[in-house]
Amino acid sequence: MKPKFLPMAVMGGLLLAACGTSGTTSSSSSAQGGSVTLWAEWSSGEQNAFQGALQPFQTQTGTTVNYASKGSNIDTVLEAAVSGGAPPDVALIPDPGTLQTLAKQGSIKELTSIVGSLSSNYGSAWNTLASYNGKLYGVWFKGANKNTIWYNPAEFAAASISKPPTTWEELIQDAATLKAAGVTPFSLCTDVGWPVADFWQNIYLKTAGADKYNALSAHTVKWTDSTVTTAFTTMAQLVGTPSNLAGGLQGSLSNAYPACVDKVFPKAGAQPQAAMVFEGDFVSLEITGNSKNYTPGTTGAGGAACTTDPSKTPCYNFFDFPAPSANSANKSAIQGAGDVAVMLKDTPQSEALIKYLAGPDGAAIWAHLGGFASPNNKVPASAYPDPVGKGIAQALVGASSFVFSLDDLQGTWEKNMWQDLLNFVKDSSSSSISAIQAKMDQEATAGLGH
Amino acid sequence: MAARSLRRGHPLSRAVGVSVPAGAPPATSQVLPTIRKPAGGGKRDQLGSLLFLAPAAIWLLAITIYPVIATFRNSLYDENAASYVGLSNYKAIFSTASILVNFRNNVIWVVIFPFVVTFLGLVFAVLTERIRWSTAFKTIIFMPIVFSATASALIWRTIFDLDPHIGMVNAAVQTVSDWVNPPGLYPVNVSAGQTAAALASTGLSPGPSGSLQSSSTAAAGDTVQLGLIGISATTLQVVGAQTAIVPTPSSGAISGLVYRDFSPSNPTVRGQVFPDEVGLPGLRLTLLRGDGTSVTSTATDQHGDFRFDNVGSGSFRVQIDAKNFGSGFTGIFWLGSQSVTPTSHLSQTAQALLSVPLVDLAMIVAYLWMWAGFAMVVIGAGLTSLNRELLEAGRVDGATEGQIFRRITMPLLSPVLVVVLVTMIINVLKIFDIILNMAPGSSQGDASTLALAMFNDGFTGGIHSGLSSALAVILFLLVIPAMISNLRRIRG
Amino acid sequence: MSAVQTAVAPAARGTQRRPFRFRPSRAVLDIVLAVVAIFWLVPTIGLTIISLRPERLFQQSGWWTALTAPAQLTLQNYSTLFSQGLVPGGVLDSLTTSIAITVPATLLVAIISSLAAYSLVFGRWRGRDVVFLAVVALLVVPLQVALIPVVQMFKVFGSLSGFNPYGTLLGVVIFHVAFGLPFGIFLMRNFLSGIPTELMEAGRIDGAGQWTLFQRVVMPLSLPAAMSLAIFQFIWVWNDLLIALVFLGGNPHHPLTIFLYDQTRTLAANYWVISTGAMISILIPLIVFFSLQRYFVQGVLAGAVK
Repeated sequence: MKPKFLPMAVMGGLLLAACGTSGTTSSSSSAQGGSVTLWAEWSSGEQNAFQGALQPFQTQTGTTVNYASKGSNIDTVLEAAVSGGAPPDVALIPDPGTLQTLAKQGSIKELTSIVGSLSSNYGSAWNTLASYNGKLYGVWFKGANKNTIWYNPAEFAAASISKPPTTWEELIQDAATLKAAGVTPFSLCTDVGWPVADFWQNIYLKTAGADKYNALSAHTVKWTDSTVTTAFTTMAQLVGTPSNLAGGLQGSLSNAYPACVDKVFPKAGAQPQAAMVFEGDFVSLEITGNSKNYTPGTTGAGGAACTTDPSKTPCYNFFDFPAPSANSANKSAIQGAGDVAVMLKDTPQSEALIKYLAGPDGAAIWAHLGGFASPNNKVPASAYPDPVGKGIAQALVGASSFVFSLDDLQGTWEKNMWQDLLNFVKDSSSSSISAIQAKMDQEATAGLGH
Repeated sequence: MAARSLRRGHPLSRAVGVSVPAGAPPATSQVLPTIRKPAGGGKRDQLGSLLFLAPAAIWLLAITIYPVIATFRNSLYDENAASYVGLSNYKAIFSTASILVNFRNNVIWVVIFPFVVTFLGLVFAVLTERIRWSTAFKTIIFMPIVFSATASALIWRTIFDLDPHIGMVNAAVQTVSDWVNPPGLYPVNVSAGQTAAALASTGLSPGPSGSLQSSSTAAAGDTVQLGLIGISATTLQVVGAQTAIVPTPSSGAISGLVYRDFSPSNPTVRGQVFPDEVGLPGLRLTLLRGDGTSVTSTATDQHGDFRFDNVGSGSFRVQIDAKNFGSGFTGIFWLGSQSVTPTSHLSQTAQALLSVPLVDLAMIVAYLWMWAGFAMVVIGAGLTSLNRELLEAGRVDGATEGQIFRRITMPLLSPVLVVVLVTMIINVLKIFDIILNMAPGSSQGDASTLALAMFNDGFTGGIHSGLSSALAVILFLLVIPAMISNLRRIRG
Repeated sequence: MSAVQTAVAPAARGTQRRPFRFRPSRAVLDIVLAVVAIFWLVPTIGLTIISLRPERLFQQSGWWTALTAPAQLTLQNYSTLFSQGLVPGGVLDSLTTSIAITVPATLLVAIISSLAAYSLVFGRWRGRDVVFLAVVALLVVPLQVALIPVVQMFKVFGSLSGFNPYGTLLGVVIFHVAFGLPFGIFLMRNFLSGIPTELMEAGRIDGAGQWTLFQRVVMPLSLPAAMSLAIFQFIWVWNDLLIALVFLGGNPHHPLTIFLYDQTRTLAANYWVISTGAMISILIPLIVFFSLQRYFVQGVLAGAVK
């Protein structure tokens, strides 16, 4: 359920004082007034958190931020607004491909001089992703670590699995052990297909490595490549056996996010129906929203043993997406995502907002609330409220190689890709896999133009 | 007539019985001198009435007529409406498998929905003639038409939900099904891909019809240990499982233990009865002879132990009956894209054209709920305007009710039925929001129609003109027969 | 009568006069239709109850369990949604946006249709019938066919005049009016052609000009038809999703239909928002429907080919 929030201004100020950084953003100290329109994809709980994060900016500069939530379609909505002539001043978009498109069109402004030394707040991989033609066009605000498989420690304990798996083989083995103990191993999120895509992309990253991943994303490696086949057959080891999935095949196909998370971390009055669920770090928001008793880590509140009853001491934790032991070199490659702030209209207010978003303050506020990780290396670890949050953020900031969500980079054929992967879940036989690979390659050629 | 009107008060109110609103101007004759105007109206009148048409004409020309022409033109151009590409958009449409799927869904909707909804409307209209509370009934049936297709889609999505705790339909089926076929103590969810065979761990093999049988035979004086895995902690709690006790052999009897072959302290070791393992109570067991015929039945006790006394000579097997694993009803995925028609063995294209996804039928039910009232009201109006004398004449001539209905009522009603049919066909060709909101993500691709494809292609991922304009043109061509039929009707 | 006789006679020949055999008794009919009526009401009742239950109960037990345990019902969902206030994209803001789109669209269609219908019925100009046939033809044109060019037109207009209707409520209204006019003109024209010409003659003889005739004679008389049109148009625009989705791509304020649609698309979508929002979106059309039922049905009967 939605937590009740203090009035925004109070909360923003309190949080900044409690867990903010020292040396607040003095770069926008002059009270400017005016207003700035800002679009992002967040609504509901995330929107509350984001607006709390923006509060110090509004109070310090006197600028009103008119925030509009555009949902996960924000990229297309933004492009339509740009072509229709009615864009916002600043937008946070989850798709660096959109950033490239908009930069190419000249619809967004170059930020190098505005951001200045703040660009060192980000690792080079992040800055490259926000650049076009070598120039910086965006600053990252929120990062998502999609390398996380969430598990219910109480369920693992019921199957006497003392520690989570570190390799893919161990994961499959643990699934068998869980089944023997009468626990369904996995809750597979399907929705319109993006969770399945994220899952598949992780497998491809872990089996083929970051370089091949980026090549596939740019379609210099074809979808009919053998590395792609390997990723499919590896994934089929888990999803090809319906008894591994909560609700079997039918149940999975109607298992939309966030209901799929509730199957592992239920609300009060229900029992878990599976032990593991995969999706990015934002899952923790859903978990804590289900019941306040959920404690991050492997022990319940006060060090008590974890239980499966959400009204007692339930726990939640994650483990890094495992690589097959043969591909251990790819172990710390991380797939992620993020929201990058771009500037569409150059006004003093939007420049100030960009600088604020490039600094650690806003990020620290949201970090404190949970369900948030920032790739900004100036955000202190203390801003994260619990070991789960810290672990996720540290992985982001310090990943050995970092790749962006492949489906978000596929432009117009992203939706087809999602549908193809859903079809793979429906039928993961080898004949189906080769047919799907061929289809995906065609669609990639058509969608990307090469 | 005109002369009289000048003298007897306001002409209008007498003529139509409508009271003139207060503040209406006095009869014009008192204000203006009497001028005899030519009855046909002069040029100024003509201009005036043309001016009245102007707003509508401009609006329609600008926003409807010109854009239709522009769409035709755009369909021959590329995605940015810039360069001419001829018929390649149309070629792409007819060669893409997903578009064939869209066509198929349109066909399913057009073939099923208008006829069923007209039939329902007819049945309701006829039946409500004879009840006293017909207004109330008609109101109830008609009401869903005021809901948006979006809201209705969300309502019905809940109704058809897979989980019997949420979805009404599955809850109802579950009640009946569990009464006919009650679940066992150790339910195995077959629709979730679980099998009883998967439960067999030690000393067991799959038996007929979902039962489990001991792998090796036993004779009098033997003890048997049968281990099962995949039993959840919840089930153990429900059945009250207690520590497994290995029974001692008993002469002349076959005794044994059915236990949960999972030890928390040795989670990967099978086949051994550890001290922390539990027995499985309440399992119905049957003793089978070598030829498979049954001898007697028993059940396991609190510690999982059982005993068949005085079995006699020969070798036997112990069977764990399938009834123990009955899952009860776990839910039908009404909103799934599995085909009602058996097409799984056909080629890709044949499948695309001949499958009937279950979700289509579910959505049709929802849409029927919305529109049956419309059909009923229109047909009902047609019924009330029927000339009753014709029906009486038929009765007088000795025809039965059925004959009267078939030979008199129906032919007289047929124009109205055609109107309803045509209206509903056009309606169904354009549906969009009910599919978008009712079909879950995994079924969207298989449930999508031309109108939805047009929206997805044209407006998601930027605005793309060529392909979606071509789809719109095809949609337009499909409604042309209805257009012609309407025009004919108005003319004639 | 002979047609009837020939229709019936072949079957009746050879059969004796029989009393009417199959006529379902009233009681059976009452029961059957009552079951149908209950079935028809259940989805709406279900939605109402879901919106009145706390969210966590939604996945645990079906809404029908609330029928036997009414204590669980609460207005909590509504109060939570309303307490958000007029935040853009929230339910109250969507409600006002829906009103802001629907009312102008309805009024404009009613007025412009009446004017046009007057011209088509009482105007003496050549080509009247052709224009009317064009209107009839436009009745069935799917609005998908006009979407993309209108978006492009708006953009061109924007670059010429500085105001681009795309992304504004006005743009949505403009499009809705265009696609409401054919039906409106059709309906009003059919009604107006039933007004006796003697009335018009009388008015003309009295020296009234076209506008006076329209205002003083035609409009008061055609109020019932205009009401039917207005109500039908109101509900049509209120429930629209496609036009709003296409044209409000760039607007933080959107109508209730988009609010509902978004709920199925956001990460935190939960049924307490969906059901409550759906109830709110249904409420206004229901009020309109029940209070003005007669007019609504008339509108439908006038050949609602939307």
